[in-house]
Amino acid sequence: MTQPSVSIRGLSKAYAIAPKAKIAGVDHGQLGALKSLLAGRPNARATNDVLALQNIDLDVMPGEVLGVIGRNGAGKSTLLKLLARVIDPSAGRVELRGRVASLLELGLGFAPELTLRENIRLYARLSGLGLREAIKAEDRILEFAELTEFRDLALEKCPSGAFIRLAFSAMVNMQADIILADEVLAVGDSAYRHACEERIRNAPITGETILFVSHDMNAIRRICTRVVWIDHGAVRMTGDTGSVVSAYETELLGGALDDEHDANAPCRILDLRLLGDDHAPVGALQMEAPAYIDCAFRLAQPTSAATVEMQLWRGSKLHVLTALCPERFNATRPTTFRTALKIPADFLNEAEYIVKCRVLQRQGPGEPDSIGDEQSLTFQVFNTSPERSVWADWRWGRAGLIAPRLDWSATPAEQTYS
Amino acid sequence: MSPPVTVIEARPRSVWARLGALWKQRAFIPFLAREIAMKKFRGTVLGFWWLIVRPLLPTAIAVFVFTQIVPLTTPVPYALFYLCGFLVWNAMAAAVVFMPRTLLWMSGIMRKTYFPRLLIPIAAMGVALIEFLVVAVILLIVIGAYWIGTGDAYVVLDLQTLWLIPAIAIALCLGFAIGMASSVIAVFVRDIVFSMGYFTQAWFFVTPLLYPLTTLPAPMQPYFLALNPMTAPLETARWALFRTGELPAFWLGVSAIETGIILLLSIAFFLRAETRLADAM
Repeated sequence: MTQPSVSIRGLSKAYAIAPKAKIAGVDHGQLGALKSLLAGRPNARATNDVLALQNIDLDVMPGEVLGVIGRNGAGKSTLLKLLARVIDPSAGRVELRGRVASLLELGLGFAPELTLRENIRLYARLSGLGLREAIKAEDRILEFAELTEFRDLALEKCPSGAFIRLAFSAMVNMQADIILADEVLAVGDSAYRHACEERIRNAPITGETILFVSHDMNAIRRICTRVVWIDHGAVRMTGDTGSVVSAYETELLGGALDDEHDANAPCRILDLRLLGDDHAPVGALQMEAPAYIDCAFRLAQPTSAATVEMQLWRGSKLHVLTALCPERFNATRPTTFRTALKIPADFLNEAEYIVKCRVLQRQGPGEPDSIGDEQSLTFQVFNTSPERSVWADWRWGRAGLIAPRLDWSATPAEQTYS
Repeated sequence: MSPPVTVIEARPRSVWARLGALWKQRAFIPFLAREIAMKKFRGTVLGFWWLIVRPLLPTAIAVFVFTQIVPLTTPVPYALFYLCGFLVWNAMAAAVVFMPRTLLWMSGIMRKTYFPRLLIPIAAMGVALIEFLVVAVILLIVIGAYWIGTGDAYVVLDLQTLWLIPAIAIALCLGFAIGMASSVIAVFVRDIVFSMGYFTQAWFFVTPLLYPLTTLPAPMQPYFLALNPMTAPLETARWALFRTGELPAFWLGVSAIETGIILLLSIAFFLRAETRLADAM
């Protein structure tokens, strides 16, 4: 009898939410966390903890490709981070049979100043390979990533997109028994994505166990042998790919979004997600294709002239832009609306952005007030097909907040003055 | 062959299991040390030359002030006297000054990859050790200069010189312990990053580094030796190199015990905090 290679029992993760207390303009919210640490209650649960995951039970067998789906913030990434031991659980137990390779937050913690070869060696050693095996893995990894010619170049000097190719290739070529992949297919040109999908689909033959988080339901349908749907930190449904994905999509599209929480709030943002060019959910954006930031919100009380505002930020300090939906939403009875902001192709730069979304309503003169909570979503933009982008002959990216396609004129100077 | 089984539990793993994990992942230390050094000198014009400038500058100032402005009588030329003390002092202070920031610097990689977090302060010590070696080389050069210039190296080399080793070891352990604990605190409360500089400076002046211990009134000396674990290592190092005064062997033992207690507390604190670090970042 084969044993499950991933066995999860009663797994929970609580985050302490520090009260936003401010004295004399100084934030000392983290002081409480430090005090409880000094007082010796490392796992003490404060009353205002937020449960990111609660009581997860799950077994994954060798050869399975388990798709992990759910809404933004449902706890999918938390689950993978727990399995990768980047964070520690608050309760429960996990048994992992075999070596683990992971790709979280679309990065392995590669060092940009090191060459590809050094980066691979380091990653291999970290994943528990011996030095000899690490050197052997090198060629395989570079070949799969189609980066062999750049092997002795520092990662930061490689063409953009090299980073994610290398990361994916390293993850699958590490001869790991368990692979944790968070949104890995969100980036890359179609040929490369196809190769990656083929590689993941081989799992039943190679006997690997793959946990695959994605927003892309088509990819989930194509490559997963089984799917678990995580909702509000708990397993909502688990079973064969077709039925779980359809149930999930039905709920998302049908607007049958739950409103058991906080029924008194005048407005609640139910969902904030990224959609690709074809309006299918994606986990990251491509520079050269248009995309949408889709927001579903519910007006629970009769409301008039509400609108949606989205702000784009780079980090916590750089405010890139604010977009206000021109549509005014009116509700006489509780109604769910959906609105999407289109991000044009060749507009955002290759970087990590944060979108903050709120619902506004004008109440009297002056600036509109925010009703309900703010929701935010962090996403990456990749330049994975440089040959098709603005930077057709400039493969190394360009600094700046955004990278729109702009027109230039160029004429010999004599003509201008003639 | 059955594959290795990894168990992840909410209950913190035993201290021994964690120290074992440190050994298994030791290949990561050079990389972390390199990353920390890069972060430390990033954006500076002098870059790694700061390793040499940083100890040279205070030495030049101290030598100028205490030979030209307020001449101090020291048993050996002031430059030698100061550098010998500074060698031991800096073995501690180099770590204390920059280690508070190390965990924050490494937060990006900590969110993506698992490795025992204790490797970070260990790697940071590698960077502090390089600074220590630089000061040692400077001291050797100055000794050589005196030897050539005056024919007297002032240094006595025999088996007793080996007393330098415990003196330096105590300083390094103290630096490691204080730096490690403050790096954890810095994750929760940034203030410590700024305050450690002032703390080290205050400590610097109450340690007989700029002045010989004997300039203090005799009844006060035992307090300096007992309450400041850096005093005895400094005096020991001077005795080991120059054979001036007497060997404070008893007080060195007291310092060693104090340092041991601080080190154990600091490691315990770090291990307890380890599970909370990722959440706080």
